[in-house]
Amino acid sequence: MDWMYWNSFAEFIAMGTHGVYVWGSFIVMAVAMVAEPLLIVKGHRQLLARLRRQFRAEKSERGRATVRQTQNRLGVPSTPGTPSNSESKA
Amino acid sequence: MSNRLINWYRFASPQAFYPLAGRMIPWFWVLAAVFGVIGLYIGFLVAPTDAQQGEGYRIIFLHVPASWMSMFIYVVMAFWAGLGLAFNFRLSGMMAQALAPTGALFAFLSLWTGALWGKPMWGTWWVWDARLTSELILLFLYVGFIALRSAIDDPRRADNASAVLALVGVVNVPIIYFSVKWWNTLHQGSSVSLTKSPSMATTMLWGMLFCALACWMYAIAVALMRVRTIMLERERNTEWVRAEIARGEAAEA
Repeated sequence: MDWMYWNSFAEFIAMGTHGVYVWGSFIVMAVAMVAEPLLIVKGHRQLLARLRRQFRAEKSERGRATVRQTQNRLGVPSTPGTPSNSESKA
Repeated sequence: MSNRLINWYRFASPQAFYPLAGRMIPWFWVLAAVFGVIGLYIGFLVAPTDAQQGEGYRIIFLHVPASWMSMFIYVVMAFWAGLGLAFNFRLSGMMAQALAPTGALFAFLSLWTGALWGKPMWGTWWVWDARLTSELILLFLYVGFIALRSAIDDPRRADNASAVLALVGVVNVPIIYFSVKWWNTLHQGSSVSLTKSPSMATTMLWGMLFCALACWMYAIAVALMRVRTIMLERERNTEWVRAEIARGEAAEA
């Protein structure tokens, strides 16, 4: 078994008379097999970002609800748009 | 015995499988790369030319692994789907869902590389012969599986409906495999057989096996990556996903 079948790079690219077919197969398969994992990574990152936003929003809503409850209990008139500083409590 | 069973059930829950899959993915990528380099090196640089087909035969180093994977992934997908249908494991439907796009991709690549092989060898891109037609049906089964899933909003119902489709469609796999024996096809018989010694030179055989292993490792890596995304998406209302997201946020901060 020789380490290399080809005599020159040009011969390798030409693939006899079948260069178009061989490289047409190779390139499409290579592109597909690189693109698929990249798309999955992209989708995963987008999902992570979406879930982070969602959970953060829910948390701050919960925080605001806590502030309202406390204010009601203490008899403080509720102020619309109370900043959700008490978030850290949750 | 009981101990081992408990361990398996533990990993059958998405919560336990998510980090495990994350740890396994890099290893499958490494294996895919190593096998791929070896296989392509043998197939494209070392292997001698084929006396009948000339250099165009080198397409088989891509075509055969892609075709094998398209069939194999379908069987695995149907297996997971059937397991989900029978036992209602949460993980099963997600695994089947994760495998379908990769299987469809390999079915497409099988047809594409086959067409590019057929043109110089047979003088035509496509014939409606049993092997080619059944492989095209396999691609349609994958597409149908994906379309059916996405048409049903409730994921558990989508699991069940698509599982039935996957299980019915599995009859197509032996049809593809044996089509070259059962019918008089233009497509050549199998180059590698379990029952008789392979009809190809040893160097070529090694090249093809390494390429097939590379595709196999690739498919596992990609399916694990996709199943992790599916898990987070479908389990987003559970505590473990919240904890996972919080941990990720903390790690980045």
